[in-house]
Amino acid sequence: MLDAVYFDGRHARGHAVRVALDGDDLHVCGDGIERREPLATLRLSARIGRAPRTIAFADGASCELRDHAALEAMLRRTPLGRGWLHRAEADWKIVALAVVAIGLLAAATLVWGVPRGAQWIADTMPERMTRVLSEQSLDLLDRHLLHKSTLDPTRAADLTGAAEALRAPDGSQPVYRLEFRSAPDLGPNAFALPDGTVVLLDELVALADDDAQILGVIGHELGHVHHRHGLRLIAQNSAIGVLAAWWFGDVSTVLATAPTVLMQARYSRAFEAEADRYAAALMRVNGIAPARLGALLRKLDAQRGQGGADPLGGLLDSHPALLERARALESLPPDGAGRGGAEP
Amino acid sequence: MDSEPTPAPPVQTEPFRFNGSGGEYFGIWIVNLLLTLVTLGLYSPWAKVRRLQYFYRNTELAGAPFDYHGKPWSILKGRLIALGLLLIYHFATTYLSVWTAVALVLIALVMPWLLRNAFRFRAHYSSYRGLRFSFRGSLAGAYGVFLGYGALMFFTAYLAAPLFHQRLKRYQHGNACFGGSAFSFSAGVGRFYRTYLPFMVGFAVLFALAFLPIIGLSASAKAGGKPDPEAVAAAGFGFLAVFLFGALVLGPLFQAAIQNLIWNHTALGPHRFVSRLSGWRLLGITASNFVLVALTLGLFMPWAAVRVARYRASCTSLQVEGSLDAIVADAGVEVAALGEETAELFDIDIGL
Repeated sequence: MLDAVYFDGRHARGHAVRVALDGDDLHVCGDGIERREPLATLRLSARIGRAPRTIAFADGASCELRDHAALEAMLRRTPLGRGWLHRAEADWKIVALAVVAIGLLAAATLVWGVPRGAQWIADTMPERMTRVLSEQSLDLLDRHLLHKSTLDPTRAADLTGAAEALRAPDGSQPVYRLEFRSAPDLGPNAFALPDGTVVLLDELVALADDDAQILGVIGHELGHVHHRHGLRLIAQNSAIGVLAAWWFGDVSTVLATAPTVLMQARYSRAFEAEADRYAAALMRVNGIAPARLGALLRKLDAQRGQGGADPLGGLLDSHPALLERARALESLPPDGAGRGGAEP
Repeated sequence: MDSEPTPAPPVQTEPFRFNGSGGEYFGIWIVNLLLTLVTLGLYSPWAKVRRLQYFYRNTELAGAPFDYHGKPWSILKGRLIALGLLLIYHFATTYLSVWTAVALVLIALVMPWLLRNAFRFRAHYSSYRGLRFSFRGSLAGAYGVFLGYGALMFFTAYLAAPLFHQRLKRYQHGNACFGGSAFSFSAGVGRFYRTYLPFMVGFAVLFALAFLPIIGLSASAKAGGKPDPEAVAAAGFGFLAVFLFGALVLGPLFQAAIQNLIWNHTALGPHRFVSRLSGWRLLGITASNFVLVALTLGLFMPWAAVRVARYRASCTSLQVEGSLDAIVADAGVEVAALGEETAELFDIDIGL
C-alpha cells in the first residue's frame, strides 16, 4: 500500500489514493477512484533524484508517488522496476569515476586531440583556400600595420637571391615568396603566411649581423610554412573556442574565452620550437651553423630587454623565451652530424 | 495542501518551490556528460530530457510538481535539422555568392515557423497535475513577430528591442494554455520601454567606455604615432573590466527586472502570477557562481544551476482565485495532438 495523488488527465483536481500491487495488476483506490489496470499497460517515469515519480495510465490519467523506497520495493520483481540510470547517478563511486574519466578525456582532447585534428584540417585544406586566406591576411596587415619597405633595392635583391639558393632539409627547392615590409611599431620581426609568403621586416634586416642570420630567420619561417603552423593555429584556436563555449556556455561567455588565450600560448611555444628545428636542419644543409640564428635571437632578446617597446609583438608571432630557443639552437652541432628532427 | 487557515478564501497565494539539490543534480549532470561524450553527442537529447525532468519534477506549485515528457528521438531529429541549417548558414556566409542571399532568405522564411514549433513542442510536453500545456499561436503571428519586429529591431540598432520583446512575450504568453485555461499577457510596450530604459542607457555608456580608448588608439596609430604600450595595456584592461561589469552586474539586474515585468503581467485565467525577484540578490548569486565555476573549472555548474532555479522559484507565486482544481482539459486537445507531429520535429531552446 502506497500513498499517491491521482489525476484523471481531464481535471486539474488531485485525488488522494492508495496504490497496491495485486498479481499482475495495479490497484488504485480512494477519494472516489477505483481502478485496476494490468501492469503491462502502465508506464513508470524513470527515477531522477528525489523528484516525485509518475505512473501513467493508457487513457492519460496518472499517479504521482513520492515514497521512492516503498515504490521500488513494491515493483522490484515487475518489468516496471528496472532503471539503472538513477543507481549510477546516486552512487558516489560511479560519479567519482565519471569525474575522473571526463578529466582524462578533457586532458587528452586538449593535449592530443585538438592538435591532431588541426593537423588533419591543415593538411586537407585546399590550396586555393590557403592562398585566398593568405592574400586576405597580407592585405589586412598592409592596410593596418605594415608600411612599404625602405630597404635599399640592391640589398633586397641580394637577399632574395641568397634565399633562392636555399635548399630545404630534404634537398628540394622550398616553395615560397619573399616580401619586404617595414613596421616600426612591431620592431624586428618576420612572419610567414600559410601559402608560403615570408614577410621580412626592415627592422630585422637592420638588426642582423650578416646574411647568414637572415637566412636562418627565413629558414625558421619556412619551418612554419612546412609544418603548416598558421593554419593549424587557426584550426586549434577555433576548436578550443568551440569546446570552451560548449563547456562554459551556460554560465558565462567571459569564462568561455579564457581557455583559448591560455592554450594558444602553449601551442605557439611548441610551434616555435618545431620551426627552430626545421630552420636548424635547413641551415646545416645549406652550410650555415644553426648557432647563427641563436645569436640573432640573443640580440633580439637584448634589444627587447632594454625596454625596446614591442607592445604588439605578441599579436602576430609570439616568440616566447627567446634565450631558451637560442640556447637550444646553439647546443646543436654546427654541421649535418646531428639529427635535425625536421625530416618531412 | 493549503496553508491559509481561513475557510474558502477568495484569493490564496501559492508559492513556487524548487526542491532540487546541487549534490543530487551533480550526479545526474556528470553521468549525462559522460554518456554524451562517450556516444559522441548522440546521447545529448536523452541528457536534455533527463535534465529538464529533474528541474520540472522538482518544481512544485500548490503541492504538485511539474513534469516534462519530451521524446529524445524527436529532439535528435530536430537537432540534426538545426545542425543542417547551421551548416548552410555557415557556408553561405563564408563564401559570398548569389547562394548567400538565397540561403539567408530561406533561413529567414523558415525561422519563424521553426520557433513557433519550438514553442508548441515545449508547451505540449510540459504538464502539471496530469494536464498538458499547449501553445496555439498562429503562423501569421510568428512571421509578424520574428520577421516584422525582428527586422525592425535590427534596422533601428536595437532601439526597437523593447518593442520586439513585448510583441514576442505577448505572442508567447498570450497564446499559451494550461488544459482548457488560457494564459494572458497584459504588459504594454510603454512598460517594456520603462524597464529597458536605464539598462539601455547603462549599456550605451559601457559600450562607449569600452570602445573610446581603442578608437583613440587606432586613430593615433593611423596618424603615424607609435602606440604607447601602457595606453594599449590600459585600453585592453579597461575593455575587459567594462565587459565583465556589463555581463556580471548589469546582466543579472536586467534579468531580474525583465522577469518581474513579464511574470507580474502574466495570468492563467483569473489567477495572476507574482514575481518579486531582487536584482541585487540575483547579482550576488550569479557573481558567486561565476567565481566558483571558474575556480572549479566548471565542476560547480550543477550547484550554480540549482541555486538560480531555487532563488527564481522562491520569488515566484500564483495568486489563486478560488481553486486550481476547477481547471479541466480542453475538448480541443485532440487537435493540438494532431499538430504535434510537426512540432515534434523541432526543439530549440529559446532563451528570450
